[in-house]
Amino acid sequence: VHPGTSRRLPSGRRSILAGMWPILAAAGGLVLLSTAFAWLLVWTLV
Amino acid sequence: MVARPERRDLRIIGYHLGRILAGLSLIMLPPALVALALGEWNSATALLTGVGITVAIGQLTEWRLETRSPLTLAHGTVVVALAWLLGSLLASIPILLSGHVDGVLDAWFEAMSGLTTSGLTVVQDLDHLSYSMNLYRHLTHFAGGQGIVIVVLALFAAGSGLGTLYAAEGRDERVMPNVTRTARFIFRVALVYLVVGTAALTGALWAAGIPGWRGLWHGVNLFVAAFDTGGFTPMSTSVGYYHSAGVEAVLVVLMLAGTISFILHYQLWMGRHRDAAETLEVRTLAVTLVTLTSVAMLALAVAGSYLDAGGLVRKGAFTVLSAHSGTGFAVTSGTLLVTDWAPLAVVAVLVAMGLGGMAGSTAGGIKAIRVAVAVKGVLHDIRRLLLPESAVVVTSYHAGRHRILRDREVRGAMTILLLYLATYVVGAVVALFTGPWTATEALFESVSAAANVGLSVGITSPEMPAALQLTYLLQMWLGRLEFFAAFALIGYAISLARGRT
Repeated sequence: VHPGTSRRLPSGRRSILAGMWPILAAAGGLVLLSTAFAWLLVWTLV
Repeated sequence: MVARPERRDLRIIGYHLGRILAGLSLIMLPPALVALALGEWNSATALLTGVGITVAIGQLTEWRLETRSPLTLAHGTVVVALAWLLGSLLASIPILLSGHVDGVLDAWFEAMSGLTTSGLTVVQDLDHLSYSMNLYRHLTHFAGGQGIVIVVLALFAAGSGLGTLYAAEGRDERVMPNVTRTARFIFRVALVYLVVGTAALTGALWAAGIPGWRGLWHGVNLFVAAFDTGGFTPMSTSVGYYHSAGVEAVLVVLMLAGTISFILHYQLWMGRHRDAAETLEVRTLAVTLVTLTSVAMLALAVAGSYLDAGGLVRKGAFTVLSAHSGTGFAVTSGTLLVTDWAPLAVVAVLVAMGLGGMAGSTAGGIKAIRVAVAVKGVLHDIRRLLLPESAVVVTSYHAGRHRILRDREVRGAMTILLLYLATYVVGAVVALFTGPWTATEALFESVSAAANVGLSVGITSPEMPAALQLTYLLQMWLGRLEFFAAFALIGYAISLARGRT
């Protein structure tokens, strides 16, 4: 490892599962946001 | 005038093309084994015939055309363009022999749709297609999604010119400095998602009432179609067949994972979350996705298409994500989109399909980065107009690192964007010439084909006109290659006939 280079690169990689949670969070956020928006629409328009 | 290619050039192209085509046998073999295990003899014969022909082509090219000459970028580009055309033709053999399609064009269309991860289907009586043949259809998504070239890269990584093939396929954003390691990383990510995604889907399917190994089989197929943003499904009514919020929720995660680039997967894998969140393409995708979802839901609510929150989310929001990610899963009948949906909601879905996902993913369409660069380019020009002439106007953006926006990047993005728009319009015009469809229906189906999405308003069917089917087939090919490899192939063919000797 050269000075100034992160020790995680290239060998100390994290678990791929750890790379999944931001996508899970984004999907969860999208579902929650659209559900909240849908309730708002139903409440105000329908 | 371009120089006429020599025999040596054709030998190099033929050799590499043959090796790639031989790789197709790898996606025919697993379903062939499934067919043998389940006693589906017709499908086993069809698939093993496909394996035999592809392996024979591979052996023949090894025997007659083997060469150690280096592959230039021109060779690589021609190989890639031909590989998608001829590869889909070879991949169509088992589908043709299955007896569920009406002729060579239908089989070729199905294979091209699978390999380009589009998902439009012309299979007849899909609900009674054998388990093994249905699995094969979905595996074409896997082969095309991870890239015919990259499949070969990962499994036969040896010899010269690999980087050239990789760049020619429009995936020049290498995650790692070494092409082979990049390919292996992509496969590793796909493998982990395969295990986790299939397990989650199978659980959701069991809960939805599809028990035992059939739940697992549906899970595998749906996983491949979602993660490779393909859109084939085992049943003719697509995801709507399952009537399951759980299945849809898992598919939302997988479609999102499929539509983001492998560079972003790598950044997330390395824990560089902040870097990922600052990336211009991520922000663009987030903005367009949230905006289009909101517009569609608002339009559907105002028009009274769905009267409850569940309907707005599970039909409206799901369809927009399915379109934006380039997957094409349907939760509602295609004809309902034009008869029952508010026109503004249909336009939101249409725009989502046209924009597509991130570059360096399996999604099709214009891609978020090009939209962002084009918009930044316009804003840059406006700033230049408003500021004094002597002012130095610099526009920057974040993509892995801080970059200065260059004119040639804007020109490149604009060119591809324009080519996509032109292709969308041409397909729509052909549909209007060949059938009784409205302009909206014609444009919807054309965008779906060229952006490799797969949502359908009902135009794509076994009865569709052959001219239109061929147009969609070429649109899927052009959209997957992002035009230039296809143009290079045409230029190469012209130089063969009329080039300077």
